[in-house]
Amino acid sequence: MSSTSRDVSVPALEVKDCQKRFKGYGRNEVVTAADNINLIVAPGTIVALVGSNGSGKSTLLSMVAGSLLPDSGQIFVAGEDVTDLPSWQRTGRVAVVRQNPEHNVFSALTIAENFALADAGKSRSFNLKRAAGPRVRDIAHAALKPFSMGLEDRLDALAGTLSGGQRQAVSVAMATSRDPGLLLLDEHTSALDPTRARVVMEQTEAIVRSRRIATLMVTHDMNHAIKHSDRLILMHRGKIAMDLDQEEKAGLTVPGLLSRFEKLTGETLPDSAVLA
Amino acid sequence: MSILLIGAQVGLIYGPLALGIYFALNVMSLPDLTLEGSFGIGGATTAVLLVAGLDPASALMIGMASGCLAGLITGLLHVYLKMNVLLAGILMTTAAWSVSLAIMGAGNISLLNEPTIFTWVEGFGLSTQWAAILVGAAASATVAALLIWFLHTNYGLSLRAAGLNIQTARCIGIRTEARQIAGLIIANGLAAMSGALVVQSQGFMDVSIQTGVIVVGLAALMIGMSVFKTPRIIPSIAGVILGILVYRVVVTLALKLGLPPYFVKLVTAVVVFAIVALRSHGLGLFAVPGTAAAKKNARDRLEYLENDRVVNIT
Repeated sequence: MSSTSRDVSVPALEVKDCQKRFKGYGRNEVVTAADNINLIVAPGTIVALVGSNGSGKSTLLSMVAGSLLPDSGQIFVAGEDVTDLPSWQRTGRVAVVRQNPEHNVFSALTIAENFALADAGKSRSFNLKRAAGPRVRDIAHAALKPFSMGLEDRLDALAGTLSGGQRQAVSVAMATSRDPGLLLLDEHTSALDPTRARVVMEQTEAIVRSRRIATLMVTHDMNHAIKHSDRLILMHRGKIAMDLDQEEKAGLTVPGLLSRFEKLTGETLPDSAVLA
Repeated sequence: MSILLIGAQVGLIYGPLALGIYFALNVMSLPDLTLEGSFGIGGATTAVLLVAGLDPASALMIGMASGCLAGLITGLLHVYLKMNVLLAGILMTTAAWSVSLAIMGAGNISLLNEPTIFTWVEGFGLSTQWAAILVGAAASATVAALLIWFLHTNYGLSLRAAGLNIQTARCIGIRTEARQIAGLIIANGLAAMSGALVVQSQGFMDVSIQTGVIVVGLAALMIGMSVFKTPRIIPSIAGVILGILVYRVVVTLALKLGLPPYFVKLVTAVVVFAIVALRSHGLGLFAVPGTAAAKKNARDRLEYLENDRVVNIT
């Protein structure tokens, strides 16, 4: 499926009445991590997802990725019901980049081998042909070049020998090289130093924009969330508390966002979220 | 020289077992003890088939298949009963003892008058020792070459991925449970191949050949992994084959030095302990208390203890 052939009338993601509860440590204690969430994301939109710890951002992302299954409700990706699909069957439609590089790339494999897995995983055809052949190496080369970290010349290096920033760059390159309709970013630059985080983030945005990949991006960086998104969603206690589109968030500042949040919920965001 | 030859003669037929253990423990990260049971089942199946008049090569292949079946059952226990592989393997090994006896119909079977792969090779004018070395080397080399090829294919790579990180692998589109079952089938097939070879080489099958055999492979794995400390496949597999030779040479040497045969298992354990000690401490093991090396050693150990984690297998 090429990026140009995507049907613009079908949402890239539709979450319908999704609920997820977890058993707490108390006797009959139940934590509602996702409380009847409804969300529609148009193709090619970058949606920033903010909120304090435990607000349900990661639960929502995990339900879309398939590593958590909702108790009730439905999830559609590009119009297709994926609610009960295991995560490994969603990889043609959804790609995920997580915060910890260890969860995105295999350290014990070379960069080329990582790309070979991503490539085979796209169509889920793991055959008995030699992995990491010339075709995969070309894909890896092309996908890594824009990051200008010199990674495209180190395809035979073990991924474990790369720095955190380099591994996240490889992760983003792998995820986007599969041309998914939907990309999930779970604080993928928050473990990096500010300079590296900026490089990886900017490059991610450039790729996502040029390929019109709908993106759901969890971040604690309010500034970034306002500046680099088409839409900003604030989650609180398992619910979507605020949903601002391009026009509504125009001219919004971090203090402005925080005061709106306080008015809406009667609570303040924790310091870590404010300072980030 | 003769010690080296005896080491190769007895050691190389355990090559497939060692590679099977490498495959389960190292590649798939599954601590599967079924391998021990599969070794016995493979031996029992081969012995019965040879007595029934089947040719040695087919008997070897079917012996391998019986091990694959045991691996399949362990895999299904793991995936469908959500059972820890270690636990499933212990139960399977216990069951395998009875299964071996049931296959054989007796406690031991003599193959003295049956043709085996080894007698066939001897037919070309080779001595018993050289025939054993040749067959063992051919078996180990074939398995090693096949594994190296396999683990560099897309499917093999997906097995390695499933053994490295299940969440990441599933995220990338790999059905990890299917890979774990496939991995256990392959590893147990290799263990059974060694069992079948050992039975053909010694000319009889006794149900007790499986007892503690996993330690032989474990010793080879530990030695091999200490020689080349890398996750890359080719040096690792070469290391395991080298490990089985080193291990057998050490045991042969110990016997030559006059240790009674019942000390073989103690020697095995001590060899593995020594290798692991050298691997974790290097020469710092012999550091004089108070020196910088000893202090560094103590710090390393403390760091290990600080980062130690419990593993609950139930």
